[in-house]
Amino acid sequence: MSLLWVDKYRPKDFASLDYHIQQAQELKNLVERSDFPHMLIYGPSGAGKKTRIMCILKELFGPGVERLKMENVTVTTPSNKKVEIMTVNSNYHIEINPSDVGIYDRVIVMDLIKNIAQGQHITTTNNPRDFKVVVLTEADNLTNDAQHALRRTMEKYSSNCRLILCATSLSPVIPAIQSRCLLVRVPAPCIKEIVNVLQNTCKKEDVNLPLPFAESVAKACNGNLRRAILMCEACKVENNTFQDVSNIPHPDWEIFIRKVAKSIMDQHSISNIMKIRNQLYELLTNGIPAEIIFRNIVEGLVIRCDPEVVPYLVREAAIYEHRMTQGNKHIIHLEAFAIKAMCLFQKASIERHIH
Amino acid sequence: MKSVNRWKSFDFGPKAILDENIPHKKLKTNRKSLVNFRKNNHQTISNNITEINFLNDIIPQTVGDLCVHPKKIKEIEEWLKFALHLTNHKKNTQFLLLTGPTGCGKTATTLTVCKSMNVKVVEWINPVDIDFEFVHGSTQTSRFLDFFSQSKYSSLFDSSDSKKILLVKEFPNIFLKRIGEFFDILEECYYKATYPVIFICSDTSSKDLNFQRILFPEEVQMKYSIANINFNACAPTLLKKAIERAQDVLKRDPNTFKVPSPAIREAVITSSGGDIRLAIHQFYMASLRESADLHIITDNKKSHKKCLGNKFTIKNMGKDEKLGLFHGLGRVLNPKRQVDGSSWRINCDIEKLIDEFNAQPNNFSSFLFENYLKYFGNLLDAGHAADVLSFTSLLLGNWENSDCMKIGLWIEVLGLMIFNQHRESRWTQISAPKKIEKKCAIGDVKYVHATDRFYYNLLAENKKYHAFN
Repeated sequence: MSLLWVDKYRPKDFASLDYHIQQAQELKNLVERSDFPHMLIYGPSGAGKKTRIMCILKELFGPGVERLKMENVTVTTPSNKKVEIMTVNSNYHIEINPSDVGIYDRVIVMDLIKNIAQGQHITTTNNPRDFKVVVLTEADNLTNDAQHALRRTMEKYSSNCRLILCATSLSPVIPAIQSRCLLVRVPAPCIKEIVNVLQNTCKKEDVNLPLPFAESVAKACNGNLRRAILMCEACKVENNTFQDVSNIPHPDWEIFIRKVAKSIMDQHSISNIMKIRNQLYELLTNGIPAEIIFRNIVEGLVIRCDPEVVPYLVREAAIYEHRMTQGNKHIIHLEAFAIKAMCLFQKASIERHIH
Repeated sequence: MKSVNRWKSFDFGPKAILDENIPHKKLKTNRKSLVNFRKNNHQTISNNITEINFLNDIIPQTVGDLCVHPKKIKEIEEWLKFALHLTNHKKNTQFLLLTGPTGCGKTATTLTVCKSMNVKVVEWINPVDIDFEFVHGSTQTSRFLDFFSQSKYSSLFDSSDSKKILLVKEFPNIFLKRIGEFFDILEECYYKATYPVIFICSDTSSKDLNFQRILFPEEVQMKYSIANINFNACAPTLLKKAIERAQDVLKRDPNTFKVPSPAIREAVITSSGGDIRLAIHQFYMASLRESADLHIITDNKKSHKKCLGNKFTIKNMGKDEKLGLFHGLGRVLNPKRQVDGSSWRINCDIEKLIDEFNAQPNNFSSFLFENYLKYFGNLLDAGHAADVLSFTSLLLGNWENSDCMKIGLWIEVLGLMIFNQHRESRWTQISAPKKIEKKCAIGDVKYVHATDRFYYNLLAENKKYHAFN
């Protein structure tokens, strides 16, 4: 399989970034100093966080960071369970997604960082830095245990190890970690910027992209540039001409969540909740972030339901969404909201019958 | 339950005698007069009584008397041999940590094994003159250290070459607050190479008093190569053996003690929950009561009936009742109500119920979440319950604060019990909480965000990632 457009045309250094130029310059200045802080880069998905991290790494260590290799690391937990995690690493950095291992992320975080940090890094002419970088993706999904463990590790090994955390939302990250990092927000690109990137990409691929189509893709992607490019390429694969605006493929999980929302509206029964629970589990185990599930369910409900119910619905949604960001067990809050929503609809339908 | 608590707190040896002989009046007589009274009383009946001191006689004399698994005994023997051998060669001090539930014979095994090997045991006892410490004099810590260095404690009667070990069962309280000092002492002793030291820690449910966890964390155990032998609760077969031995001891005084029925023995074994000390004491009481007059039997009729009726029932003479996980879940998910006219209340002592839970609050809570829906018959009820669960999951997330977790469990249990107004009463299987394990595609060359996997599937025209439908 040839490279997808997203990967093919991902900017490799600060100079080739398409938007947030000012921020790119600031980051570049930061990297030029010998002292480099821990960083926490956050912003909506598809805004270009990972791209910027790779740019930073390249600026720090040179082209050597692009020589990536995959490695499976096995760590033994205190309860003697073996946990395996996939890492992507170069000579200068290592990238892990600790939330892949669920509740065992604490062990992973501690062990891996300890291993990396205990080795001394020798500065050479190729590598003027005496530290290694650990990139933790989805830092907002780390359990509380792991975050507290991280806090200690960050201080202890700060001499030869730097962390770059990547998160979509800042609120689940404990303040102790926030204060130890330089916070960098990467906002989602605006529609104009997305259109611009799409057109550039298509030009490089030698494909003609009509402006109205680019705009409708930019609107449909919800500020997520990566998805915009993927959508664009999917359209090209599907019908090649970029004519039919209504034919932009939406991800299957989005449609799946809409279905869940529909069943919340239509069937108010305990047995249906159990079904919904399983569907939620399916979404969660496949890695769809809980807050995206929550948001899509609420959107699906609000669009279709009675306008009188909306305020109550949003009120409940606010309560449970808040709790969800604070806790670790997302399924409990998702389910509680689903039941509450069902109760509201049930009440509304009973009232409608009376009148 | 209350009355039984009172029973337990007494030094029941004399009390039982008292019940037997002077049922009503002389409750406040002291022990000495009692014994005299009893002696006289017996002399009138028969002259050849053998006085037994049960609590003394029951102490195991040989290794064979112990009711501990032979392998554990062997482990300890081997450690002792090894440690004594090393001590002779002036190696580092050897430490052993014995852990296990209360009354599983940790101390008894140590003492008996040492006796059989002709090793002298010196035990540390916390000084009681704490007031003195405030004004002047050595602190607990320094005395504890002295204990190890043995300068003040060597006995004149010992020959210099006798083998000796040190036993620490009580830990000076100060170490709970200043753990570092304990480690300092360990450090000092470790290199001084004195006698082998055995630490004994009982398992506790309380986090703050768990000496094993506080004073012997893993890295400390590694650093000073502290051996750890963990005892399990006594097995019923071994308890039976111990009770038979107790029976033999008691038979020597047939006037005071009688042979309890096999059913009572059985009940004692089950109710003790593997605590041999408790079992022996209970058995002692059971033997006494059988020979006593009627009013005592009526007094404890309930407990007797219970243990006779069903040997699996834990009667209330025993340890604090501990509910198994499933039992506890059943109580919460199937609340029993007491209807009183128009009002109702839950027919259950919540405080007792929660105390009896054996499981970790978080674990218990995830079981409740996994199963609660099956027991609810009404959507509104379920909504309230779900709200409670969602709220308490936040409280339970505060693992640093055990009070917070306890309150969370309280709210959760109460909420689930109260809101379950239309209970579904068919039989349902309890299922274990689902573990959410993220599926990662194997052999991914790049990290693909879950929300984009659909497009990767679409563009590569394969089904590498999970497709929703």
